[in-house]
Amino acid sequence: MIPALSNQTIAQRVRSTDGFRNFSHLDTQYKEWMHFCVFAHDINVLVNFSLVKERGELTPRLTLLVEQSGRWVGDIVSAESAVIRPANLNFSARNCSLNFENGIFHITGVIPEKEIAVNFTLTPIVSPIQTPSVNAGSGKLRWLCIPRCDAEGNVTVGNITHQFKNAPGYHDHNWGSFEWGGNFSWRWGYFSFGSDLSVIVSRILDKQAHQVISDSFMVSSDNHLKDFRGHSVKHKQKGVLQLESNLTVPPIISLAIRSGNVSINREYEVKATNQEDALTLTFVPQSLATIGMPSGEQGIETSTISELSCTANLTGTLRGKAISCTGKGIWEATSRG
Amino acid sequence: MAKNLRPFLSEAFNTLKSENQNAFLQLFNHPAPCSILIQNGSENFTIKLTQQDVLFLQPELPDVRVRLRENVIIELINNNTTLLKALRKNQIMAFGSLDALSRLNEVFNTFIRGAIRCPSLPELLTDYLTQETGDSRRDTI
Repeated sequence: MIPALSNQTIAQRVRSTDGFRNFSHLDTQYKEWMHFCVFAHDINVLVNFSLVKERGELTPRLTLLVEQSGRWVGDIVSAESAVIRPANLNFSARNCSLNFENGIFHITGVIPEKEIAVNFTLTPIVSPIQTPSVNAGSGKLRWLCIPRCDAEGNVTVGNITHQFKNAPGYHDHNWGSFEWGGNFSWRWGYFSFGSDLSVIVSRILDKQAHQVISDSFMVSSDNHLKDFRGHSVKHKQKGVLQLESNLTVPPIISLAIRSGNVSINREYEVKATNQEDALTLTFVPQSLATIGMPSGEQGIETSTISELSCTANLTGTLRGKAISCTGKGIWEATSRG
Repeated sequence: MAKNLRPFLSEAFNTLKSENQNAFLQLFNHPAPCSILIQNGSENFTIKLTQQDVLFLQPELPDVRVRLRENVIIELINNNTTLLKALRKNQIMAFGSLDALSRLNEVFNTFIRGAIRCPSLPELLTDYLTQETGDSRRDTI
């Protein structure tokens, strides 16, 4: 057994790798975002702090999505300005804040029009994983993730406040210069099987999702990370499910994208194998939220990110130990609108 | 009471023209001029696409006539309904030849897809949603 890292060591690693990049001189396609997930007992929460270059300036945005009882609520809101310092882990705007202090992320966000507010902490319990950069069309996307965190706080939707403690959480940080609608798409998923085990699946494809560019399957358990790549990862989809996106954000973009029922797969299976280990992740979509954004050079294209909440199973063997557990996850897919 | 649509649409086309010229020019990629009579409560006006501009005119004989039920635009902006549902429920009714309706669809898609990229759009939508209702009579469609 590898000894656990101290909280202080983990905090130091987060601080040295996860700060906002030096974006002041970067080109018009520059994007950067900090993404957080929490799987509490009765709700799932996605919070995303993003920066996108618009008219030569970085526009800060908060995306706040909450799933409860199979339905998503939330929105994307822009702020006129935000206080962000390169290399720091602080983001402060009118409606939201992100701070990393004493080894803990402190996250707040509020969208009064939707009657949603979040206020929680996320404590990394493993070190950040720096992943190889990804070709995103003619650009590059870089990312790192913290596969297991401990979340505590509350989320208010309408007049109901959900409190949670020791809930599984996840964080990733993405940055790069690329155009939405370029020749790439991604499938990405975060699956939690309690506080001791999580799986992150990442697949990069071409725009039409015909050609696989890269595959990754990362398992974080105890103090180990197992990273399967390339041909050791196999995806399989089963059946067709008609699912209606019960939330599209920003709402106006629903006029420009395909709406109503969306055909997705009924069940997904991802196998990761090497000489010692063999794992099978299966997951079943439950509910769908759609994030839309303008894309393309012509100024009239749209791209979407589908966020699917899922129930998940993980079976197989890892480091000689049999695994069979159930959990939940978020599966994300980008496509043309 | 329906909110006045004409000033909102006029401002939206101006915004498209100034903030997403590529998309604005693509409105004119389709053959033949297109005129659309909008009937929104007691508000009646014509949008005419010439070869290079969008004009707002008094009602005239159009290629396409579009009748809107009260609040359907707000429902659409807030994503409380979809275009398909609104058409099926007759909250939006469009009359014209198949060619003209097809062209309207293309122009509408180009307009929406272009407008959502305009940085000023959120402010424009907020202004429209918070606008006092106009002096239109109750919609009797």
